[in-house]
Amino acid sequence: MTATVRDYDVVLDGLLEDIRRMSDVVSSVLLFGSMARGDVLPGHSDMMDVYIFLKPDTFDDKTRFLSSLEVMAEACEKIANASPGPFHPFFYWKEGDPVPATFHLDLAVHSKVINGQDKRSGIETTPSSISVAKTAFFEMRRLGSPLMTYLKKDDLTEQERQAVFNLLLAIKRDLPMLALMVVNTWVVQKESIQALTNEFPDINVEVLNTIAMLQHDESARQDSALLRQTFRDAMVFVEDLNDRLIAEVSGHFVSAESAS
Amino acid sequence: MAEATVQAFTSRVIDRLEDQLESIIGYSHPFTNGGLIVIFKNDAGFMPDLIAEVYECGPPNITLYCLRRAELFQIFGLGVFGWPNPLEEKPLLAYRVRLGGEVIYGRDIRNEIAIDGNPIVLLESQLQRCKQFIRNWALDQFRRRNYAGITKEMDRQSKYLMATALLAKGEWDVPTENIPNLFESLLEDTETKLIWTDINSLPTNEQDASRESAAEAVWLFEQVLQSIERHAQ
Repeated sequence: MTATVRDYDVVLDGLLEDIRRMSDVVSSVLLFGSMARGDVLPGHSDMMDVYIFLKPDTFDDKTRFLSSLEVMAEACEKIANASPGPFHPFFYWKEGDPVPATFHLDLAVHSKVINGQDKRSGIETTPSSISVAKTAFFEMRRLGSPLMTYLKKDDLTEQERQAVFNLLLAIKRDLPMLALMVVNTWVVQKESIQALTNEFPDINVEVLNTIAMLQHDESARQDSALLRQTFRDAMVFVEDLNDRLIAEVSGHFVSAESAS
Repeated sequence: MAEATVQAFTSRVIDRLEDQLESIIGYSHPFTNGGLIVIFKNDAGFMPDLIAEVYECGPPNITLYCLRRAELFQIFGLGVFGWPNPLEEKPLLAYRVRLGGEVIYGRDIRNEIAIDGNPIVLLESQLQRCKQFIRNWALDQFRRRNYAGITKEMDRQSKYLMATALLAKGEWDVPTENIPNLFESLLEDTETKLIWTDINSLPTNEQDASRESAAEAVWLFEQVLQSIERHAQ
């Protein structure tokens, strides 16, 4: 069965119903990502990009915390069972706690309040979290390492093709934004490719268009040779970006102790 | 690390890539199977192809970092948020490599691995990592009915936080079983240790673990986060 945008909305409605069961502890609920932007790609967009902010005293009251934990666990299970695309659990957070820098703009600016009060102007992050975000590009590059063997494999199985496609999606979706964080430029995903070409005018981002084409052409995704070539082109893009970033940050991460 | 398996793997990597390699460093890690840092020369070939060759050598179940020498600063980083793998080696990694690593092949580059002069930052980022990904990791495990696993992970993450806090006291090589006591004495924090003791007393076998005991572990872990947070301020 082909997934639709409506399927995503139905699952979100289910979550909101569960959230109403814990209204005494919920301060606000933010939706971010493709559903908030209105550019869901059915079957491929993941869910559930939601932060549930709980009132601070919930974390000091065992009965209320356990009761809300049970509701959230049940809600998580329902979403996993009904999700029309890749699933990951939503996040729950103590209202007032700083959020990770990688999520800050998405939450504070490019989100939708779907329950409770709009307290986005009070959302903050921390210097250490900014430091984490500024190295996330390199960490993401490393996490793809085990898949590099597929660069040389002639016949990819369906599972392997899916793994390569997912990696390509992550490269298109996340790496431009994470690369910009390394050079202290903060934009949301949607604006990141344009911002990257502004930052590095001569970088070749053509492969990102090919990945976008693959997103909309299921039969092309079954073509192992095309997928493998796109994968190689994508890695050339990633390595070019990596080399530029290394040159930009060279020396910034060396401590005084190490340098001495 | 199973030493013979790792040695055999390392030999295969060296046979295949010797002319491109600068060094291989092995390290142990109290919370993982340890790993290898495979360091290539700065002018080595296209890294994705070299990394593919390393993985074609059949790595054992350890962590692998494949980097050029100019990229060694990445070992010193704070680490990524790791869902669905709940444990990130980074808070301890630079210490494990620089101070406890073993040169398996090539040049000794351990002194090029930087160690953060302010370990409090490591604790602060580890606390945020737990809030971001251990909480929702646990939510996901409830639907998998992995109740024993939740309790074990809350125990492990609590000890990992204590180990990260101990870095500020210069302690980077504490056996896991000694972490809570050393944390209590050096950080003068009996409260956190007692909360961990409560987590540690919950059932972790499949027969006795229940949804209730797993929820109790999550609640207690929230108390650990709050309690240990004061050491990051």
